[in-house]
Amino acid sequence: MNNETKQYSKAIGILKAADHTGWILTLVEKAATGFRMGGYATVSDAAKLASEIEKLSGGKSNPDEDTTLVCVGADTTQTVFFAFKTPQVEGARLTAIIHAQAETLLPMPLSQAAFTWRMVRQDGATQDGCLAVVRKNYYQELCNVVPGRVGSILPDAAGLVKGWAGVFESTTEKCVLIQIRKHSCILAVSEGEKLVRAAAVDVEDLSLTMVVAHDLAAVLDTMELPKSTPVYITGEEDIAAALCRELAQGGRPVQRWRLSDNKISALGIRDKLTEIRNRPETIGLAIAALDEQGPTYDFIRLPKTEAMDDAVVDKKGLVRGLAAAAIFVILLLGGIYWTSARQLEAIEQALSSEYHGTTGHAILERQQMRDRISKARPDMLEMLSAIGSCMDRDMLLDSISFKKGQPVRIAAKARSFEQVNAFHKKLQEQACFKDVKLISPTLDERRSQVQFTITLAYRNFTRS
Amino acid sequence: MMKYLDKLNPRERKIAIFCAVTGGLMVVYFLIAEPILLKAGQIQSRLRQQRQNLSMLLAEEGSVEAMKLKSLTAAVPVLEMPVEPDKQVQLLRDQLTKQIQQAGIQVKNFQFQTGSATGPNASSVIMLQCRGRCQFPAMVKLLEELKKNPYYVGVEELTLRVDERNRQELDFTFTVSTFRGSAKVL
Repeated sequence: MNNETKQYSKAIGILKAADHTGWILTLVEKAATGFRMGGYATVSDAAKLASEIEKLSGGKSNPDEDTTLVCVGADTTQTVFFAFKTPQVEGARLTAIIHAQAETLLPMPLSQAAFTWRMVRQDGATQDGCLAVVRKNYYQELCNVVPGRVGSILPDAAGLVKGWAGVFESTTEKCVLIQIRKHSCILAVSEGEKLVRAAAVDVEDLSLTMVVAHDLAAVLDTMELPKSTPVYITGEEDIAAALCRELAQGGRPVQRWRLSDNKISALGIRDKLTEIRNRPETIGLAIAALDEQGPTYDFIRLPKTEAMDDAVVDKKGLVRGLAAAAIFVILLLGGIYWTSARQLEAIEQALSSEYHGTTGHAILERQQMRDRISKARPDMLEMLSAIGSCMDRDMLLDSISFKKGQPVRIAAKARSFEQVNAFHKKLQEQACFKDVKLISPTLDERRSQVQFTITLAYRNFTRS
Repeated sequence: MMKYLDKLNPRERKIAIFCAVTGGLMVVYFLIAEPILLKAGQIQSRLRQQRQNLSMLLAEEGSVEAMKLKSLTAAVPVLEMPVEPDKQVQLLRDQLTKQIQQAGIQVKNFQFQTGSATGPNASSVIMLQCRGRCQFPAMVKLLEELKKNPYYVGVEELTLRVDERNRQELDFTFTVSTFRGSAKVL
């Protein structure tokens, strides 16, 4: 089941023959003045359906470009209609409510059923609709009538209403159409020449017209239709006439279906008039499938307005949401950018304005220069004082050498190795020195002195 | 364009639309969005910097900024913004000579050097080297007085060598640096 949006100019209605021995195919094309029958065929073997469809639609073509819709009729005796009410909602919410209603109304799990629906009328805060349900395996069977080609499955009652409206004298008023078949009678409620709901009455013996009329009247009563609702009957002459009489006696306005010459001419069905008069739903199915307002009770193309609008609304909603979010983000970023630019301008203006003979920029410039100088200025007094504090009084300093980027070099003389080691240790303890290394302490025995050199790193002025 | 799209099958159409949309977005991003974002980033970083500057200027007593300023001022109590190199050298030399004389130090020679300093400011400094003889207290006095020289940046080199015959006397090599006037302030 999907929401088909493709526009078709031709449709082939496929219906099982009354005696269930074959299939009837009717091709209808859209014409300037309405619809026109483009072909009619009967096939005894289901295997030949595909080739017959190709023949009717004018040969094989690219499926993407094919504008012929294949519509299969679901037997109304296999279809059940359920009326339901929903609040005045649309789109996804309506679909959700309908699914919930279907779960409660259907006498089987949803997974075993295929259903479609139609919203019939709106009444204040509620709206009326009707579900059409078939068993899933029957639905699959119909899909496989012509594998891969079936684009629409409609109840044949929908075809019946369209066939009546297309070939016979019809009315847009609410009315009941009765079709007498071999072992059943089909009741289809029509309004605006569209199917509202339908029911099938099984008939064991059609000659017992009183019984049949009673059953039909009972079904009409369950449909809660007023007695004044017109009833139109078609089928075998004698039985139809007898049923007309019986139902009329029950107080219902009953008429027989009457062919419309104009409609017959417009449709171009004179040569197949008998066949179509007997099974108007064959042509009606194709007409119903091509309905510009969307198909009624299509099991494949779910209700166009609701489902499609839903999808479109959802997509539009998503696009609108994304667009709104994008606009919001752009505005937000724009706002931040604008505010930052204004603030920067204001600060720069404040820094440029003169106050007490100077400007903020000038003060900052001096401050930055101070910062730069302080980073480049080693404190020689700190260094010398740190070295001096580590020396014993009787140590003799020979030289101190400092050069930026290089280790500080101290050459000195001490009385003993212990004194040298103590000096080395004290230097290591100074926070401003790192990597203090004692190099080649040598004992001068003649003078009883230890000559030594120490290198060290002073703060960040020595490269490691 | 639409005619061309109509000729394609749905899969090809989707790919073509996807490619067109992606291409469009890329063009929009690289031609419009990226330059704007770059500019916005620059403005944000400049604003951050200027806010810091402003908070430094308006620092209240006891704040971190005020303490930082105080320590900076202590490290560099006097300062003259650098002028053009020739003039800057003269100014430094004159001031340094005065300070050396005040400290009672004998200078054997002055020598200007450029480009031999190390560190990030190396290319923007001029160095003045002097050699001479002095006593240690005089050198300490000079080092103390140096801070009052508004053109002095830092000591680049200091070598003190004790005279073995007269340990009160020192031979020294002393190099100080100053910024070139053309140097851009950070």
